[in-house]
Amino acid sequence: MSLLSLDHIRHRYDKKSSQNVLNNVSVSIEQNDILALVGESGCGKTTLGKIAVGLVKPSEGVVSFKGSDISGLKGSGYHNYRRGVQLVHQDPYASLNPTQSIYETLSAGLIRHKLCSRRDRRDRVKDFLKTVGLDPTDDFLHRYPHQLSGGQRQRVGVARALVVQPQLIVADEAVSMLDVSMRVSILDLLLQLKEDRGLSYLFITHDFGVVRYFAEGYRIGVLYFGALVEEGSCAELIERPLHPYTYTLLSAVPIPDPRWNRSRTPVVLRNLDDTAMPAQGCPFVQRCPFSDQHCREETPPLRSFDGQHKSACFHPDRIPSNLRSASYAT
Amino acid sequence: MAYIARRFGVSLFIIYVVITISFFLIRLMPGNAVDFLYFQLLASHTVSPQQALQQVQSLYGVNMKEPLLLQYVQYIWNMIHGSLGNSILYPGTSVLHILMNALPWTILIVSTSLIISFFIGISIGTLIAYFRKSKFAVLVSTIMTVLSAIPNYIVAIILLYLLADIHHIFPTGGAYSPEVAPGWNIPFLFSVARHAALPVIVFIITQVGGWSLGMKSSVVSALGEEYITSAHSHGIGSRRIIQSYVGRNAILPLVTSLGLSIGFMVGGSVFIETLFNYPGIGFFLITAVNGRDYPLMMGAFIIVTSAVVLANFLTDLINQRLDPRTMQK
Repeated sequence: MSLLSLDHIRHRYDKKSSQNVLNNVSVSIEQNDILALVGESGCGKTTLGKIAVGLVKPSEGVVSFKGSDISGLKGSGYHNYRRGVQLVHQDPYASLNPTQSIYETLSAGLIRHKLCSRRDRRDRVKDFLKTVGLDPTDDFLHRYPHQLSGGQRQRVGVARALVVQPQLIVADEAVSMLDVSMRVSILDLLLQLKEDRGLSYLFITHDFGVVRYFAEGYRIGVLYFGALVEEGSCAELIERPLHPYTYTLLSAVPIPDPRWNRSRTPVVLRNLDDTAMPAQGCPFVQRCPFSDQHCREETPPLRSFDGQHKSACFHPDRIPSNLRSASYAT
Repeated sequence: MAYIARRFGVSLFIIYVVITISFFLIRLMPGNAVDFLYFQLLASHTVSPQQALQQVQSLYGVNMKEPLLLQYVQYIWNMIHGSLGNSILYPGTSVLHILMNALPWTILIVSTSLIISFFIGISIGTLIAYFRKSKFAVLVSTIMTVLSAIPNYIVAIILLYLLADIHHIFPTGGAYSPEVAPGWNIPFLFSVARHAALPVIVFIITQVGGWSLGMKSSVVSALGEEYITSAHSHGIGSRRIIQSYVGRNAILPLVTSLGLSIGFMVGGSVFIETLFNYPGIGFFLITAVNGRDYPLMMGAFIIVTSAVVLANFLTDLINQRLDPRTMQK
């Protein structure tokens, strides 16, 4: 039984629009697991994250937490789900309430779920601050977000997700607003928490470099225009992508070696406006360098290639295998 | 504390600067008030130039034959000692006496209507922000826009006509009925409330639209913040989120405008107080302007300026308590 599974999720924000933000997406996350979702801006990554946390109700499809549909959860079952799945936001400057001190921000969840006695509250908050690598002094507890640096704020954001002792954390672009120097330390913190607490992550990002570091040994899903086009283990998907979209994304990752970089032929995609989505066929067809008549007429289903590696492409064999070079990037 | 003291000092300085500017402006105007009065007295042929000079001097508390700078120093000196000179229109009465009698009435209607309209406004604003997609909220928003666009004197005339002239529910003017004895007794307080009701209602009707629309936009932007999403994912109740997460952040810009309104309403009550014949600062300001009672005008200016400056000062203090970002260590 999966910790969280999303089955055949479709979502549209505007009921009148025919355009789905998410189109038949199914993913699942196990206990102590990582699923990284990659995709360009506007592909539905964040919406999927919000649906996973239960803040957006999908138009169609089922979200189940430990096997039970969350739309039917009530009472303690709902409480457990509410506690069990937490968010870490992208922007550490917008994600903390400017009128609440660090202590107020962190204790709200403890109070809400009655996780400790009034007397212990302070110590618990300090424990969590220590866990995320912040200095748990009294002075720090009474600071306000504007008095902290970006990295400190993001750590507070992680601590805020942790206080209710979740099992799954949805990290929506959790490091993309941070300095490169801060990124690895936050990623390491998240990985360490996974080891220590058996946490799972739904890690949403657009950055393959980050994914490679974070999801090593786990799975990556690639979203394109609201559809899951490829899913596979980190190593396989990066070494041998089976969807042209993944291939083009990977070919855009810069390589810190000029000889390799020059030897590659970069794939440049045409920009596409949302309205130009084909009514039928593969969603990627207009930008795909390998498409043919078949791709225009029929939507390729997500099918399994070898074991876990799935792709929604009719012609994965047409994708060049020169990507070994791309995997050079970190 | 040092900050508050410094801020208070700055406030006093601003008031001083405005007084100075008003003083010189009045005296630099062609056909200035002092000369005007002096020549008027001379023209009446009932007084000698010396007497006229003395009379003007006693009215203004300054000797006009002295250099301007010296007059100014004298005016300030008198002011520090609590004298703003004597009124021309109300002979024998000091300007300070008139204004101190008028001020409580203005404060009564301005503060009552501000507090009521602010709380009604932010409540309506929060509601229409939260349910902004419902038909009801759209309707309420439209009504609020219309209300905020109607000038208060129009509302005042309509209400005066309907509720005072035709139906006699409220009196047409004055601060209290001449039949009751002023003091802390029930009939007097009741009469005061009845007389203040119409001006207060007019202010509420014309102010509530602005507050609710301001609060609406403020709440809508606060609702989109990520910390609200986080609070939801922690499972914190909607009511608590509205009050202590959304409301707390959304109200900050409105507190600033509340402070500014306090100041401006003291000056802006001119129309309302005149229409309702209500003996507040605005009423005497208009009387002074019409009757060229310059000492009284000057005094009213000082009161209005002080109100704006002090209200700003108070707003700063309140904002400090509410918004940690503006806190001074």
